[in-house]
Amino acid sequence: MTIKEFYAVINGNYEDALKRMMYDMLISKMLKKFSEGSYLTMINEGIQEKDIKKVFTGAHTLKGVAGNLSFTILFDLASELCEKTRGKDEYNNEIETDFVALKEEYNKTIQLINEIQ
Amino acid sequence: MNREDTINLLVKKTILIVEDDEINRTILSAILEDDYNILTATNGQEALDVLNNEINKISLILLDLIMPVMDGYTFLKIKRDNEIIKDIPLIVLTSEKSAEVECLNLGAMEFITKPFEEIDVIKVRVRHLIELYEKTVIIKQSSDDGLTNLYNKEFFMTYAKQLLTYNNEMDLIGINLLNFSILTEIIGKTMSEDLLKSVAEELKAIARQYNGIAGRAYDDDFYLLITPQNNYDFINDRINNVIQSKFTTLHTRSRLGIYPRVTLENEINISCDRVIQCAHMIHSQEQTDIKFFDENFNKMTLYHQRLITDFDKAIAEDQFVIYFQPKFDIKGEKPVVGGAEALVRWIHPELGFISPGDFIPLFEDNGLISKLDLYVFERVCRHIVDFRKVMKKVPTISVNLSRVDFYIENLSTVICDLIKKYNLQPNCINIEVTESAYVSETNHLVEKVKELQDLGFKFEIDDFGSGYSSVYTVVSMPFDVLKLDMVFMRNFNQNDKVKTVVARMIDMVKSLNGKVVAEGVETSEQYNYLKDNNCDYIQGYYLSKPIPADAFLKLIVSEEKNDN
Repeated sequence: MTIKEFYAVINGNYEDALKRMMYDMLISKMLKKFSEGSYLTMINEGIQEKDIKKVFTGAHTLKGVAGNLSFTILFDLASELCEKTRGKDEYNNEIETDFVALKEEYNKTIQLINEIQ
Repeated sequence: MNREDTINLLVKKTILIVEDDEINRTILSAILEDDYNILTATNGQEALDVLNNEINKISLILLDLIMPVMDGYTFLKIKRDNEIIKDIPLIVLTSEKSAEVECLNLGAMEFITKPFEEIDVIKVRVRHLIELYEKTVIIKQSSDDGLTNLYNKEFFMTYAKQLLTYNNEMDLIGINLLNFSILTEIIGKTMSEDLLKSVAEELKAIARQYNGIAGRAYDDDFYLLITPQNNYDFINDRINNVIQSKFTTLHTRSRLGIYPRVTLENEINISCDRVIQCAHMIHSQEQTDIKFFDENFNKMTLYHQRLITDFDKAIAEDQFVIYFQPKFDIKGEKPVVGGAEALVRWIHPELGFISPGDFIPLFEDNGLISKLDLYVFERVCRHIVDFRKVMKKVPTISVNLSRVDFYIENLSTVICDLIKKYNLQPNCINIEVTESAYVSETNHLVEKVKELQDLGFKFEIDDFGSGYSSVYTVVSMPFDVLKLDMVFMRNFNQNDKVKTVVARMIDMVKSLNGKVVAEGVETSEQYNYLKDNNCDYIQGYYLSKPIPADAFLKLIVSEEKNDN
């Protein structure tokens, strides 16, 4: 699978990513970094510890990266979790549903990145 | 490396990227690294550490808001309160519109939204901000005067024009400190600069209070442009308080030249010059320390201009005429002419007789005085030659030299050449220098005076007692004759103290082997007192006013005849 095909499969925006990163090489390098990163860890910990601020921080970071890598769906899901946790002090169980969807998309993305030649 | 690379390397600016996420950091670095050197930090604390080490390098900071350890908001607050780093331009990287106002309040100047927009947009924003910052720094560097942080004259005028476009009329005020140059001589450069800084602070405060601006031209010449006032005493009072708080015993004070209600229609640069000239026209003996610019002043300026323009022609056509004010030796039974002071008069073909009071201070200001003084010196030589044709022993003639004359290159050679040219000796001519010149040019002048004394010239301290007389002057300055200013004779009858001081002065000078001339003697009572107290010479209307050369010659010839 090429980078372009990868973006097609995840419904991302390849053109957008290319505009930002200029070369496939840089995109490929960033994708690899993404796959090696642990962007869910902080959100996960937040949910375990019922610390909504931690969830927000983790979601915010993921949103930023997903946006810059033009992962449209992951970006939308992270944004949603961000908005639901922004400025909140009290933990809310509802966000766990959002996290499940986010986690699924995240894992799928990582898996597909590993299939890029 | 080709030339372009070298230039690029020299001018490549450094950007600090503060962002916790590696991917975002890397993408941003990749976008900017062709044009800039990139430093990175992963949170606010790291950014502060980098700034600490590389403060002079960094032209711009790109800052993420949500970061571990120290977030962007905290960093912004610390930066805002830190004098050293607060002015470095900063762009906030944000995905939240809502954060923008808070960031602007904290000193952010621009935003880059996440996900990052088009590369070109980012590049342009970065470049613009760096350029804007550099321009501001250049303006800041060249807009202040280098000492007091007030605007220099050029910027003051630029901002004055801007202010006048918003305000119909404002008051332009020139501020100068009376006798500041003498003061500098007394208290030293460091302390006088310190005083200027304090005065500048006060002027800045006044400018703020009255919605205006303050500037400084040079030395102790300041400007204010403030909203129209009806009374200006408070400005002098506030500056004088500053002076008093620093040096209680100094005889310097603030003087103002005011151009009330200036508008954009006035040529601001000319008006600036006028208010300073106005301030400078206030002398120490005047009742007021405020002078307004008006039509009279304008006429005066034009008149002065005329005198300056006509100067060269006047020299060429011998319009300057020498008068002689005899000095009478009063030691003997009868007063006899013991010398004379050469005084210059200007007989202008159109303006008629011009008072020396009109042109001497003017020429002292612009340096023409040296040309005039040397002209007078030569004319006096010629007169002595003429006098010698009809009499044997011509009394010594004194010629005035101004303080600026002592900066003529090879002054002693120039003077000796003149003496030789007319076959005279140094003892034919004494040189008079005012006390204020002695005080204000101390070291330099002393050196030159000694040089000329070694060649045989005698020196007279003129106007002693009119300014900042110090007994120490008498001890430390080289002189042969001391001339007591006419102020002593003017106040002769006020009380006995004046008389006592005069008598003691005579004693003191004579005990130092000097001679004393009393100036401005007008009554027999003064004459008798001076004679009784062993004064050597007197000068004044009591025995003779200044007279033209032929009258003077007649006087000395008749005395010579009486002698024989």
